[in-house]
Amino acid sequence: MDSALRTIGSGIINFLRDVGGVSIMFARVVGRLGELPRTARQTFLQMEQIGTGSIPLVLITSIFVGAVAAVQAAYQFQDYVPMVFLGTVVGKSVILELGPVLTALVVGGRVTSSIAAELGTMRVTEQLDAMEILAIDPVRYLVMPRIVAAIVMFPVLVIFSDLLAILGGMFVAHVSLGVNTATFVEGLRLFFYVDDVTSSVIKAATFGGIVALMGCYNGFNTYGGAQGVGRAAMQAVVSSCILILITNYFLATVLFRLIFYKGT
Amino acid sequence: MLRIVCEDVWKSFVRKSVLRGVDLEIEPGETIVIMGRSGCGKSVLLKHIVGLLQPDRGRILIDGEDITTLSRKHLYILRMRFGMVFQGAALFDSLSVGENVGLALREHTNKTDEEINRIVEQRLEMVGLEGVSDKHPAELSGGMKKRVGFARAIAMDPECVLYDEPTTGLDPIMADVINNLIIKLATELSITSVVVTHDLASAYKVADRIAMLHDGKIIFLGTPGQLRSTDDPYVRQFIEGSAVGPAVIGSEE
Repeated sequence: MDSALRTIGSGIINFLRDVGGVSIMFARVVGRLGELPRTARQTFLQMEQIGTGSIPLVLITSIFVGAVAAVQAAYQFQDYVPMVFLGTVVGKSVILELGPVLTALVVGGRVTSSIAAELGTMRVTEQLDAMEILAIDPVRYLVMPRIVAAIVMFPVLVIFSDLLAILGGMFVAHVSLGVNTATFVEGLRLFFYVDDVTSSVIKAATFGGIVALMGCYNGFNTYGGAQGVGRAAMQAVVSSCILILITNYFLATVLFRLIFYKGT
Repeated sequence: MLRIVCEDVWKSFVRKSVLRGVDLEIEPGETIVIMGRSGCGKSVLLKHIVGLLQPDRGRILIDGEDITTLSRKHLYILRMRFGMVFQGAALFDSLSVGENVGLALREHTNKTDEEINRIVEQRLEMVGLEGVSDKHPAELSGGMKKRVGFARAIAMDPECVLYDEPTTGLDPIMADVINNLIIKLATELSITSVVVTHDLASAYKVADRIAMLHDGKIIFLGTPGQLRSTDDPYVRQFIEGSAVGPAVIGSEE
């Protein structure tokens, strides 16, 4: 009984410590945003690594996600729903959910583990201490550029992903489902709202911030050599994925209500 | 030159008490060596001096100012007066040697690239490394990395340099090169030096005074000559390198 209570208690303490630690790190980043121009070089480097470096991954996942969305939708439609709505379903599902969430999960895994491993290695090899001794704030020099770069680049990647997924769906519809491109595009345009794209971009920027923040927090709190670096990378991926899925629900609820009420 | 005073410094990690009331005064311009067995808290004490760790109890006074109460901003201002050489050099992997040495200058001064490059080359020359500015840390040997760490530590003309195990892992010849470098920097730049080591040869060579840390406290403080002739059984066991004596094996690891 004692042991169970101790486990639960330490779990709660660890959770609260992590929530506090992440909040403090985020607050320190926000507090130093005015110094962003000083870290412009590092920010552009991170934008290149997070954005350009993730394009091949986004390319492959998005095309196949769009393709499978078209196949599944066509299967569900059977003879009950006209195929003109295939483009509508693929477009809506990709722009509202599949694009931002899947891109965040797939690219996020790549980005957050890479950040956690890099900063974790810097922690265990005392490079972060060396930076402190040089009177350079690691939050300004290392964390801020990564968070800003992810917040800027994730929306770009998600828009790219949305386009590729729709093209993937369109291609499969034409080649194997007998729905020509004109019909697909007609369906796509039928219920297309710019607000949907805006909500997709808002989601992507939020997910980008979560991914970079989790990578930085876990990297900064690494201990215990190579094993610790591996643990930090794993914790960064797990916490990012969980937070993305939870935040997605709340964002979807809020954004859907905003769009819905605006539309009626 | 800085005067550093540690007053009744206590520090524990989880369930292990590492420092248990350390009192130590470091005079301006002197080279003091802090010795002790592995894991006895030498590096922990060093990190307290620059505010990388906060004591559970006690004060660290730098020129009379208690750094345990300083804000982050003021701590950074104070740290510009320090340099530190790390055990594993702690060079930034992603930067070249020149960028490592010049990073603080680039961040804290308005010097032009030409001026910074000139200072970087001058510092590298002081540690006997010319023409390596464009190399990356991965391309350097252990001794070269340590010397780049020296160059980086003195780039901002510090008043005090802290050395964490500067000769550990080096061959005897390179260790002596490093010892000479510590003496050279202390005399040429007139800086206060705090060296943490368990290398007796190094301590005897560079120290004005030697402090021995044992069981979380300073149990000896004196000149190298006084160390050689002390009767303290713990200190004698350490300097004789004997497994037999009052210090229990495994008690500090």
